Parts: sequence; C-alpha cells; structure tokens
Amino acid sequence: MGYKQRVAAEIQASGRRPEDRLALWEAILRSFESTGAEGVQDDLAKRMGHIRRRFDALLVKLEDML
Amino acid sequence: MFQLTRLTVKGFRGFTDQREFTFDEPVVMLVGENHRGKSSTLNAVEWCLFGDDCVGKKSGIRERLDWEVANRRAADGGVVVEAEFSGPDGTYSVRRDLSGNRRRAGGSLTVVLPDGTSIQGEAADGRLAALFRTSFRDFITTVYQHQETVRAILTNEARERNDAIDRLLGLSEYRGLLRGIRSAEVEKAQRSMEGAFEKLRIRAEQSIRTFDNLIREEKAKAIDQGLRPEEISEQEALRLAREIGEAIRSLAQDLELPDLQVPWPQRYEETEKFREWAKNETDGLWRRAPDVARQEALAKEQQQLGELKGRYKATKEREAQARLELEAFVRQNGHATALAERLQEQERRVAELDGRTREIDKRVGLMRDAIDYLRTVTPGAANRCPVCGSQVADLLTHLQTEWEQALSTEIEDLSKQRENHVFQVDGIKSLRSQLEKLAKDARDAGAELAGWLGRVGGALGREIGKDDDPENLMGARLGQIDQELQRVGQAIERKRQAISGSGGIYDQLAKLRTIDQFIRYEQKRRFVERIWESPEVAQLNDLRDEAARLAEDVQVIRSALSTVSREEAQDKIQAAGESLSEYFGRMADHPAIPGLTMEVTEDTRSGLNSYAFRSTDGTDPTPILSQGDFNCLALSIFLGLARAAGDAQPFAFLMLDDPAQSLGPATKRRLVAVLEDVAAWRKVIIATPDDELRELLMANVTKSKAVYDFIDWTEHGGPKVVRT
Amino acid sequence: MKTATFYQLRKLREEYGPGIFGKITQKLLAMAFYNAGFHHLVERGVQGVDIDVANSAGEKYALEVKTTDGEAVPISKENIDALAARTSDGYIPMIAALRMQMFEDWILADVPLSQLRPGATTLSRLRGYRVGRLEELICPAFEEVVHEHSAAVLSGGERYLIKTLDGKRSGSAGHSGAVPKFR
Repeated sequence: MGYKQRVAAEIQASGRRPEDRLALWEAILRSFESTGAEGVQDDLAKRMGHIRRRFDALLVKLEDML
Repeated sequence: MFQLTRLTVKGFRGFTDQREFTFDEPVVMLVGENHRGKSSTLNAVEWCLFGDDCVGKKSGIRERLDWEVANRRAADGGVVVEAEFSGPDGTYSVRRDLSGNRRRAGGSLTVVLPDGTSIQGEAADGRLAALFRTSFRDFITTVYQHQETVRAILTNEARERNDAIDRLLGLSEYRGLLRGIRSAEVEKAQRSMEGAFEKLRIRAEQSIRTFDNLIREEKAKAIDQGLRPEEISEQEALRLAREIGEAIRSLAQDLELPDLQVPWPQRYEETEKFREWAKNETDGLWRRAPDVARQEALAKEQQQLGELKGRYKATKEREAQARLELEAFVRQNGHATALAERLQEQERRVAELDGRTREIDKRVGLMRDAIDYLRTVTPGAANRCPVCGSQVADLLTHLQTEWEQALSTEIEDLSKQRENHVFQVDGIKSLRSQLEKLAKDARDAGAELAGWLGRVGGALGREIGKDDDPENLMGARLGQIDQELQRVGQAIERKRQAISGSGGIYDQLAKLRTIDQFIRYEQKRRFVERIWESPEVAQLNDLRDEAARLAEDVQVIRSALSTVSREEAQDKIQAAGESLSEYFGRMADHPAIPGLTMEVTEDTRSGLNSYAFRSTDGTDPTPILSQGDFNCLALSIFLGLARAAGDAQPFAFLMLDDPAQSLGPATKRRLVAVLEDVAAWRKVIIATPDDELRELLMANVTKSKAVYDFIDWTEHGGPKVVRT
Repeated sequence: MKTATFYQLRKLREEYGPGIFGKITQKLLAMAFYNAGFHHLVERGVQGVDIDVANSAGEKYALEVKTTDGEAVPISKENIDALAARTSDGYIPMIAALRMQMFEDWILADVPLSQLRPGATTLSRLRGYRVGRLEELICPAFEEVVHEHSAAVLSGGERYLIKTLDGKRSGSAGHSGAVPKFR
C-alpha cells in the first residue's frame, strides 16, 4: 500500500467525519503534487481564509450593532 | 529485474551535444573533476524514468527547487534522454523528450517494448509505472544515492540530518506534507478567530454590565422619587403622562390663558415627545401668565420710580444748595446793583487820582527840566528861574529840595492811593463774577429740578402742582406697588407650587423621565441580549465550529502523516537493520562503536521523524561521530535498504554519487571492500571526483569495470567524455 | 445562555465555591438531560464517568462534565479510562464543558477517545466535535432547570438537588423498568 493509502487508512480510523477528512487529505495531496509544500500551505491558508473572511464580515456587522 | 544497459543524453542539464554511455560491466565508474557532468549523467537516468517527479517542489529535494532540465545552449533547445534496460523479455527503451516550452519539466515519454511496440504519452506513463513498479521515492531509497543526501547528513544540525535521513528512506514527501501543513498555521488562525470572538463577547458583556448598573441607579432614583418598583413600567408612564397633561391644562386655566391643546400620548413611545412638550409648554404658560406679567411690570415700575425718586431728591438738594450759596453771598457782599455802585465809585476815585497824578507829572516835568537846565548853566545864572526869570537864591537847591521832599512824597502818596483803589476795583469785579456764577448755578439747578418734576409727573401720570410734594407722591406710589407685589407674589407662589412644588408638574415630569430612562436602559440591555441571540451570532458560532473542524481535521491528517511516516521509517529501519550495522561496522571501523542501531521517534512539536542512533552498548554515538563516520552511516543506510529490498526491487543496479565524501584513505579502502561485496548482487555505477577511490576500485574490485573519464566540460560542447 | 441564567449560576458559585459549584452544575445538567427525555440517568459524584444518560430512542451518552472560567478544561487519564469503560455498553463518550462567562453555553462534544490526551483540552478544540442537535435540546432545558431550582439550591445546596433528582426518577421508574441507582 502506498503512503497515500496508508495515511488515508489512518484518517479513516480516526472515527469522525471520515469522508470530509479524506476529501481534505486528497486536496492536500493534489496541492502537494502540483506545487509542493508551499501549495499545501496555500491551500489550507485559503480554506481558513475563506472562513475568516466571512467571520470578519459578521464581526464588523455585530460590532456596529453593539 | 531490469538492468540499465545504455544511456543517451542530449541537451540535459550540463549536456549540450549527444553523449552515449554503455553500462556493460558490473562496475561502471564516472570519474573526473567537479562540474563536468558526472552527476548530470546519473540524474539523466532518474529524469528519464520519473520526469517531473524528480524536479522542483515535487521532488521533495530542496536543492532541486530551481533545477533547470534543459541546457540553455543546446541546439534547437531540445532535451532527449534515452535509457535502455534489459529485462526478462528483452530490451526496453525509455525515451523522454523536452522541447519548445521549457516549463513542462516532465517532457513527453516514449516506451518501446522488446517486441518493438512503441507507446507514447499517458499510456507510456502507465506502462512505465506498471513495468518498473517503482516510485521516485523508492528509487532514491534503494537505487540512487544522491550526493545532496550525503551532504545533508554530514551536518551537526539535528533537524537537517533528520531531514536527510527521511530523504534517504524515501520519506521526503511526508516531510514536505507535514511542513506545508505546519506552515499553514491553521490552529493559529483558529486561535486568532477565537480571540476576535472573545473581544466581541467581552464588549457585549461590558455593555450588559453597564446597563445593569444604569438600571440599578435609575431604579434607586425612582424609589427616591416615591415610585414603587411595580410602577416603573410603560403603563405607569402613560398614566403619569395623562396626569401631567391634566395638570398643565388646569394650570393654563388658573393662569387665565386660552384653552390648551394637549398632545395626549397614545403609546409609550410617544411619552418622550410628550415630556418635551410638557416642559416647554409649562415654561411658556408661566412666562405668558397675567400675574407673572403683572409682577414683572410692577417690579419694573418699582425700580424706575425708585431711581426717579432718588434722582429727584438729589437734584432738589443741589438746587437748594445753590440758592443758599447765592443768598449767603448777597448777604455778605450785596447784590449786583450795590456792587455796581461800589465799583463805579472806586473807578471814579481812580480816575480822580489819575488826574491829580497827571497834574503833578506836569510840575514834575517842569521841575526836572528846570533842574537839568540849572545844572548846565553858569553858577551865576543858576539862581534865575528859567520860567519867570526871577532871581531866587539857591534856586537849584531849592528846586532839588522841593523835588526830593514835597513832590516825590506827594507822588508816592498818590500812587499808593491809586494802587489801593485799583485793588478795590479788582476785588469788586471778582465779586461781581462770583455773583454771576452763583446766580447761573442757581438758575440751572432750578431748571433741572423743573425737568425732573416733569418726569415725576409723567411717572405718576398726573400734573405736579406747586402744592404737591413730589417725593411723598412717589413714596406713596411705591408703597402701593409694594402691596400689590405682595398680593401678586402670593398668587404666583400658589401657582408655582402647582408647577415646581412637591407633586407638581416638574416633579411628575422628573418621575416620568426616570421611568423613561429606566425603560430605555432595559430596552438597550435587551437589545444587546437579542444581538447575542441573533442569526448573525449563530452564523459566527457556526464559522467558529467550521474553523475548529478544519483545524481538527488538519491535526488528524498531520497526526496520520506523522504516524505513517514513523511506521514506514521503522519498517525500513527494521528491514535494513542488521545490514546497516554490518556495513557501518565494516566501513567506519570505529573503535568505540562496534555496531549501530537506528531508531525513530516523533518530534512532538513538528510531528516529523526524529532519528537517533545507538551503539550496541546502548549509548548515543553521534557526539563522537566524525564527518566521515556520518558518510559511512549514510552509505550503510542506503546499502542496507537496497539489500533489504532484494529482488522486490525491480532494478538490478545501484547508483552512488560521490560516495567518498569526507572519507580518509583507510575508510575508502573499507568502502571499496564493501562495494566489492555489493557488486556481487547489484551492478554498481559510481560517480566520483576522487582519484584515490578510483585507484582503489580499479585495484581491489574483482569485477570487471568500465571507466568514463569526464576530462573536460565546456559551455558549448558540454562534457568531454572518454571511455577507458 | 441568557444573562439571567448566567447570573443565577454565578450566584451559586459565589455561594458555594468552584468545587461544589462543579458538582451542582453536574446535577443541574443531569436534570436537564432528564427533562429532555433521557430518563435513564446515572449521576456519579466520585468514581467513574460523571453522567450516563439514555433515552427511549436508544441514544446513550456517557458524559464527563467540566466547568471552567478559562479557555481549556483538564482531562485526566482517569476521565479517559472511565469514558472508555462505558463504550463497551454502547455509550457514546462525550465531554460536556461549560465556560462560566457571560453568553457562553454548554459544549457537548463527542471527541473520539483516540484523539483525547491527558492534559488541558481547549474549548476551541472541543468545538470541532460539537453535537449540535443534542446541544439544541439540552441547553434550553438546562436554562429552565436553573430558573426553576437555583433559588432552592442557593438555600438547600447539593442535598436539595440530590433529593430532587431522586424524586424525579422514582416518579418515572416505569420508563426504564427499574429505578437507576443515584449516588
């Protein structure tokens, strides 16, 4: 079994939301295979950034309300 | 197994023109100085088999990040590497081209099978993978030991060494993935979000606490104002507003002002506006109230009359004073006529004296002339009178005596008298001026008094007759004003009580304001609480959860990578185990380290593999290992893994790039002895700039050898290679 | 939770101190679960998992209950072992954590035991395992329980809650077929 499959098996064994986690793992792999470690960093930063942007927009709205 | 038999390289890295290499001996050496293309030759095999997997970021080899595949000077810019392998069914040819767009590091692949079938493109990639069943990772673990890997192990930095060993074990990808994941700092970003949310929460909490305090204060104020807690309500506010409206309407009636339109509040929300109206209306009514106007008018009249009385009295006193002074003067000095008569008399006397003085002056003139004449004439003629010619004895003496005694005395006497009378005249004139001034003053004072009298009449609204006492009249009026002011004041006070007394309109308005404030603070507080129950906060919490899930997923993946990497490292170390110790013992021959084991643990901070070595006595030998020992270690790991792979490894050759780095002569000899054994189960291809190693290999390896001498390298021609 | 609930809880903590307050909160949470339909309930003061709950639909949870002012809760090896011990009976192990700050509420998290390590576990990490459906059921029930009983707890302390909880369950013995032991 290649390392990708081994890691996938380990992730599956973690017990919660395996589909989501496997999908993330595959996305990380794709980024790594195309642009290496930096690609992984960018991908994850982008995902978190997307959450953060929505978060910040709501935060501003709530701060105005307060 | 597949054996590398031939390699053709053109336009690849240091190569410009085409060069061919035949690997037809058990040991093939690529020798020559540095930068002549030896490593590029070995890299060409790698690139031919794995394309862009061995280039750039994908390779996981730091030194390959900016690798250029194509030689810049190659004719037509094309790269061609062709490798032939002899396999179980015959010869397989693998050819990789790169032309035109240099960015496609992988190039295009052609695989030719022993039966002549040519496969290209993606199908060729698939066929190659199926044929050799080896990844780039496995290749660099068990077939091709990179120079960069050995260099990286020769370092005292634990992190770099662990990195190099991971690479040696073919675990670079794990490392790269873990690095990428760590660099993304997902947990840090999540913490930052939590921090921002906490700030918002604290702000909301502070608002609530502030409003709680304000509500408490207003409640206390309300109780001080006589409200019961249950009266602090919207209902009570409306009831109070109605009470205030009624009170204002009643006040307007009391103040005899026209009927008022009260804007009765129908809902609680209208009470604020009503309060404003009530305050303004109450103040306005007050200002317009007849009693108040009357009071203001009376006060004004009182003030004006008081002033007038004062001024009149002062003027009267001044007029009396002027008259008294005039009378006193007249009594003392007489009136104007008497003064005129006296003046006339004095002036007459002065004139008279002036006449007599003139007469005497004439005589004096005559006398003086006569004296002067007599002084000039002869003594005999001095006794004859120059006027009548009479002879007078001692005439000169006589004239001188008369001049000196009688005339001069008379003159002096007349002069004194005149002086006295002139003094009198001046005195009387001065008195006359004084009298005129006093009379004018008295007249002016009288006129002024008459003027004030007119004003008094105007103020009292009547003629002031000569029998009237204006001061008393004014006093009487002032007395009336006082009485009326008292009466009006009492009436006003009663009405004022209705406004600002206890329970009055202002009192009620204050209560209403307190209730309003209390309710407003409660509303604001409820608003803050509702914000916290709003969909926006729910969405914010959902995003926090999303971030937490992402962070947790990343952590799980990171943990999985770390675990699998460590397990794989353990498996490989176990597989290489005894061989590793044996090769190290043979090559390094360290007196203090008869044997060596390797173990792997997790660096809990980074999740990466951390390697440690143990001597057979259980101690850590790394503090006493030299650079050469580390090289032996690297070689031992590589050879150990290659041996452990055995026939499971599809390739029947090994490639070693500069294996003699940092080795002394004795160690090189021992290395050669080990390679002699290795050559028994693998073809060995060695690239080295080390002449000593070359000599040792030539002299001690019993297998037949081919030597490619890289004698030169030029920019246009590439490597100049000679086979010996 | 609403500020009124928070103030009531804070009063209890000021009255009894953090240690007893933790136990009180645990019992109040147990009552909330009970009122939400989890009539099989075991609440423990000493050894073992803090609360076992089960409803007629077959949902079974074993909860370790934690309260904190800060941003993390301590999970001990004993906690993990206790949760693990309940899995053999089909209970889903959960951490129930309440941060005692205004506007915070219960986090009910089913963290896989393999992911739990002894030491401080941040609430932000627990968020990744929240069971939203259960929180939507239990958090309002908890608020009602606090409103209903906080005055009595203020005067009667833990004993009041023990009595009340016993009283509830003995009143519904028919649901589970037996009166569960309450220690």
